[in-house]
Amino acid sequence: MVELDAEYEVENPDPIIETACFRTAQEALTNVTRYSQAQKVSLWLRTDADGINLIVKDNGVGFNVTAARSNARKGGSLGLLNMQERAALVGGNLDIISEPGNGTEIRARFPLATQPMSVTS
Amino acid sequence: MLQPDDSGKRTRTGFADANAKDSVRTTEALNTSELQNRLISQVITAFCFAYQVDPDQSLKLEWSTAGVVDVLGFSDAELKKSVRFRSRIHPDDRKQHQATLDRVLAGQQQTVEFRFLTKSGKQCWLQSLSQPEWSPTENRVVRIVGATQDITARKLAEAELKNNEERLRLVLEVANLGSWDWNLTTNKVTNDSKLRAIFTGQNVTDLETEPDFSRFIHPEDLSGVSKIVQSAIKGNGHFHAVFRVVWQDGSIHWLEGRGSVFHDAEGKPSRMTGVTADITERRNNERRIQTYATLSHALNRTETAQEAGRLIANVADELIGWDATLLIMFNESTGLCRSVLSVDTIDGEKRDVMSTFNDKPPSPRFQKTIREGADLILRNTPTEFIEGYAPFGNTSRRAASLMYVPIRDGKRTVGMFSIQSYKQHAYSADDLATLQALADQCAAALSRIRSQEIQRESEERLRATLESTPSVCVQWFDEHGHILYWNPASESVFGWKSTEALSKTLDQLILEPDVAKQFLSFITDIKTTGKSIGPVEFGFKRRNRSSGICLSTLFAIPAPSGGQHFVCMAVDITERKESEIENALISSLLHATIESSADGLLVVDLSNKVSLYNQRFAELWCIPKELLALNDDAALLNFVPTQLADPETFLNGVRELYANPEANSFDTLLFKDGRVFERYSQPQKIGDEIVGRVWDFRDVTERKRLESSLRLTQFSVDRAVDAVFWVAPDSKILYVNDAACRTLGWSREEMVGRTVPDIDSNFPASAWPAHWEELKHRKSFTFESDHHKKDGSAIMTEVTVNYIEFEGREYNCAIMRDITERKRAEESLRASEEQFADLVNNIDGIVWEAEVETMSMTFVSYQAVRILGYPLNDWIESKTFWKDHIHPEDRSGAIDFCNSQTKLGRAHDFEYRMIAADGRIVWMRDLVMVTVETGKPASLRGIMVDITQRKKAEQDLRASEAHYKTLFENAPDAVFLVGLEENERGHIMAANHAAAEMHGFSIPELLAMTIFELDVPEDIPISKERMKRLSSGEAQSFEIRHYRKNGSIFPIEVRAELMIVENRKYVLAFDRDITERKKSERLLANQKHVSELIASGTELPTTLTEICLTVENQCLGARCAILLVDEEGLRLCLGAAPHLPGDYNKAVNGLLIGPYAGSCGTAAHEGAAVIVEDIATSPLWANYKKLAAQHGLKSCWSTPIFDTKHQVVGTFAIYRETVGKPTESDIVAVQSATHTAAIAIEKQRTDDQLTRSRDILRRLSVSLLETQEAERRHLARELHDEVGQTLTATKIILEGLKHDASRVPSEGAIHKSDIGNSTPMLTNAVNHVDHLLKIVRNLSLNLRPPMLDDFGLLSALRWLLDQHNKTTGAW
Repeated sequence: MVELDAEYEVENPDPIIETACFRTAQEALTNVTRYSQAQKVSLWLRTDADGINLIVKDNGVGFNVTAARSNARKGGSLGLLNMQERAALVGGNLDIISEPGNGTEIRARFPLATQPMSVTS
Repeated sequence: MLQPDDSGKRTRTGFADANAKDSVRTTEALNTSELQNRLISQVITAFCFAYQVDPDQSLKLEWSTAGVVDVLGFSDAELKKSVRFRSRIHPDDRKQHQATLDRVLAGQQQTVEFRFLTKSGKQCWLQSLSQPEWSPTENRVVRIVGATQDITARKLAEAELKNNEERLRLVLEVANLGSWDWNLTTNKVTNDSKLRAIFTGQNVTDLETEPDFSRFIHPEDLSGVSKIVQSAIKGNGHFHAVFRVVWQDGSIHWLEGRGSVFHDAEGKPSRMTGVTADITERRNNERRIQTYATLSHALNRTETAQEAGRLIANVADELIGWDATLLIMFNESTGLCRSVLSVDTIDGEKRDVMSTFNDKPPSPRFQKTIREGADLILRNTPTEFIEGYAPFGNTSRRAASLMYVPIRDGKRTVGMFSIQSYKQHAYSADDLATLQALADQCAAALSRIRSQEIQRESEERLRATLESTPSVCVQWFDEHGHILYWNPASESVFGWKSTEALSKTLDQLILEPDVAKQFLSFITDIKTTGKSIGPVEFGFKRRNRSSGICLSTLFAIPAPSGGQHFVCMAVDITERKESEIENALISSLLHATIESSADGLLVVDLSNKVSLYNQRFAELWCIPKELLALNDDAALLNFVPTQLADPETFLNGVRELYANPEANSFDTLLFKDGRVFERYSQPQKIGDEIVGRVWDFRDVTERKRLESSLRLTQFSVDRAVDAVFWVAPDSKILYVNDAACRTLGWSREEMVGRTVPDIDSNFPASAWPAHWEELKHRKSFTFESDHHKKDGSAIMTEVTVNYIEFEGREYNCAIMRDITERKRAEESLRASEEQFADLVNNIDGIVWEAEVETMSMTFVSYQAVRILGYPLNDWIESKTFWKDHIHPEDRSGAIDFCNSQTKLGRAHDFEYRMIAADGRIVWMRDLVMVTVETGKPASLRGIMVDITQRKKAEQDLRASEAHYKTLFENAPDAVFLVGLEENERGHIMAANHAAAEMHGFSIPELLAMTIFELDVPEDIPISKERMKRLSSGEAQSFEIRHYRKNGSIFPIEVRAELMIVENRKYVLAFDRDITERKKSERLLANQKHVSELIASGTELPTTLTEICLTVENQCLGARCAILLVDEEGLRLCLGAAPHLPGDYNKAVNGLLIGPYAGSCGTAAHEGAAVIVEDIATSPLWANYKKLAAQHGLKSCWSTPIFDTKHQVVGTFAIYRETVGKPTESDIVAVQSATHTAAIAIEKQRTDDQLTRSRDILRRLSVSLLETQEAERRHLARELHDEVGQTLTATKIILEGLKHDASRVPSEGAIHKSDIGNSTPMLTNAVNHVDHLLKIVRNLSLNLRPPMLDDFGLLSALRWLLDQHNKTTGAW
């Protein structure tokens, strides 16, 4: 069962950011379904003055983050990297906290808007 | 006249010494001869005396010879009557004099030397020879007979000798010099203990007395030194060598030796004398400075943090020294540390050790450094606790002295550098500052390296993203459309492999020619506008020739090597058609024109609103932006007058002009701050209608200043000290200044119109034309002349005439100086020099007479026996006795001289050596008178004076002086001897060549000066205070500035000590020119300053300006400019040029790089320094010299600035208003400046690249996401609209069929069997379609949930969870 704890109030939300946030949650839930064997998943969403914070946490089997990351770099599953890249691409960041046997926590933070592009000529 | 004396034959009996009697007789005989008397008094300051001794031993002067007056100043009569002889003997000598007298009274012959105060109050040295006359009857001395001579001159020479030796000792001691004297004949080296210490590092006592010095010279230097020695001996006579010696303890020391070769009488080199100094410390210092100075350059070339760390650690070791060092970098994004360098001394060897600091958060020690900055820790005991300290490397030993400094990048601390020593109290606060300076220097390099690393990472990430994007084609082009990059998505959409596509153009692959042309035109558009284009549709052909349409976005990104690349992101939308392009072009030609004016412009409309102004206007009047924004002239009028000297007049003028819209005006505005503006105002008209007013302001401060300085020049000429005349070719005086009037006593009116011959006695009118021709020919020359004044008196003058052509006319501008006084002074000086008299100081004279022809003696006084030891008869009997006993080397010279003078009938004197009976050599001075009878020389009379003692003293003095002089002259430093006594305080008593050379004065000039005249005025009080301290015996070491003769100032380092010679105090000072050192120090400080600027993130223009100002400070009259190469590498744009005119900078900005592009463009093109000594004649400047001339720039030397990849990134130029080439110090300053500028520019470039690369990444990724999402949205819609609708229609049809089928049985049996069978199949089909519909809907929703677009994130998430819970309902 996924629980949602969300307080989301943003004026003129940036569709690119919202999409990124949504896709991150989507990817996280897909991962949970596929690998975690979790009994409980919670999705926590908050906004503050300059960003959106998203936490997806499960009580599943967890994994070795370093090993998974290097595996991903060598061409394994891109899911984790994709999530991180996606966050980075819109100017946010994403941390994965997990240990085998201790569940997984995805912490993502997005800016309120994609940063203005500087015009280079 | 005189007969040979026979007393020489007598035996000496008893105390009644016959010698004395003879002497008396001789003297008496001489007294009778007026001629000889004159001779004696002329030559010898001596007298003879006789005292009668009473039984009570009291003395009474019986007689004394006439010379007594010359010697003592008292006459015989005065001595007998009133003078108390004893009381005039110097108190210090009285005791000795009395003791001598006692011995004489006891019957011994005695000689005594003592000081005596003469009648005139002068103190002289006397030598008295006293003989007792014993009376056997009374059994006591009854008379004392003797002779006294003045030996002051000899005593003075002896004192001078002692003085010299004392000086020598002091010089050596103060200068820390070892001296040596090498006898080239015997090969023996006389040396002092200092020299031995310098060569061997050992105490004198440990060494044999005659060490072989060559044994200590470093084997590699030995042959070099002996070569220099040989060439000194054979060649120029001067020895100068710098070499190493190896001390017994193995340490190597640098020595500098200087010396001179002395030659014997035959001109063969006989001795070499010199000094040697230990210059190890000085060399080390120089090397340190060198190391430090090249550090930034070396750092600039490092490519890894470890390389930079190692470099800085090595320098720290050299400058401060360490046993262990640690360099840790801190990564802010991970919060973790990384050890870059970790070295410890293990078993006496410095080794890299494993670091315990990797991948950990900052240690408490590091945190403290981040928090509190640099830290110096000195442990008192090895176990003393230090907070946060963690040993590394050899953990069994604890460092006793530790220093930690932060490495700062801007305000952030990015690392920590530590050096540690096992020695206690190894470091000081100064060392900590040095270490921090090193860390700052290193920080710039580290931050550059770090930026480069981050950039590499970000580039990798970008590439990975592009590679892994499945549906978006990404392509990269250069400006001609050549493909530079082709991602996997492109491969799958267009069918061309990346390897096939690269470097082709799109028309060769997928575009029809006309489309390709359009594509290229887009690229051109992007290039001009800088904006991205798209999304836009392109028709294309796949590799399999099938056609398609893609939706593309095109934009530019900076190319890594400068210039631009173009990116196309495309999604295959073959089925879709939408497009929108918008372009905007804004250009404001008017604006640019107005802005480029050097004048401030303001246009005000009739309603007093500002309708136009340029930036220059705001600058000139210092008007804040907010005020300008109001566009209200009234507000401006409130603001501006406060700056003016007379606001009221200004305002009245403005009001008047506004009241008269037609009026033009031109006036001058004076500012409180001294600026001067010219204001021009005219109505603004459109057609004939006045619509406003134009105000034009021009800053003419500089022009006004020049005008007034011209007036000042005229004033100064009028008031010049020297007389100035302007003379026409016809010798008429056209102008005279005040001094001319004063000097000659005429008024200006009287003088003007007169001619030169009227006032100059040396120029009669007839001589004038020739003089004028000479002047025209020589242009300018100086001569001495005589002028007469109005009162008729003559003065001597020095005149410098200058030929000047001015506006087509010829003039002579003559400058005249009254040198009457100078001439007079020169005259009297010459006179006083001529008065310089010979020393005559010995009474030991032999009076003689001889024949002219044979020079055989006819009479010789008894002194001959005493002086030379031969019986008198020998002199008379042998006709050639005199000639035979002259020293062989002097014989012919002496005889020839005497002969030649005699023939001329001239009295003469000469010096030569004679051989005494016992073989001694006796120096004689012979004074000869020639008696002339009937026009022929008849006889010779003379007196030979024993001057051996004087000669010896003189020789010793000469030798000592030579030695002293050698040392003095060879001292590498400037040496001054400065008087401290009342009447000579501060006077330079002696100075060596080094001193003269260093100050640009000659030695005689220096000797006429006080040391204070060399000091800069503000140092004089301190100098005087130092003199006082020195006077009390306190040695001083200090830095001070001195003037050179040419007026330039330079810093010196002085070591000074008190020196007491003959009870007189002097200061002995050694000066070393430390200009170069100071310069290096300043250079270092500048580099440090700039490193700090760079490290603290100062913006590039500020840093570059700072670099320019620094060089301008160092090089007088230099105006610096730093130009930067633009991204394409084609042009130079302005980096900084704080003191070049704005117009000039504006004109130079954007200069094309090329082979004839001024100094800078050419330097950037050639990659080598370009020195243009004269812009006007250089072909490089052909196109620009006019521009340069407009701004008074005459020479320009430009040096390229290279980055670490040896690419030219800019140029550094020095402009001057004079023609010429750079000096050594200019070159040094420029080198340093280019190094620092390179660091700053490279840092900025890397930062820019990083920013750009991040920017590219962001642009790409955002486009990527947008394209992806758009595609998904599109697919979702397609699924929903097309597939969904079709399926729904199918379902409706199927359901209709099913419905029909259920009704069929009532209508007939024909179809029943067929249709009745079909009902369950239809149901099945409907179910399948239903399922399909659900899948399509889910697919569509998952591709892009519409609530995300319609209701926002929260709704979309809710839907997502809902979906999730439904599918995984299990939990």
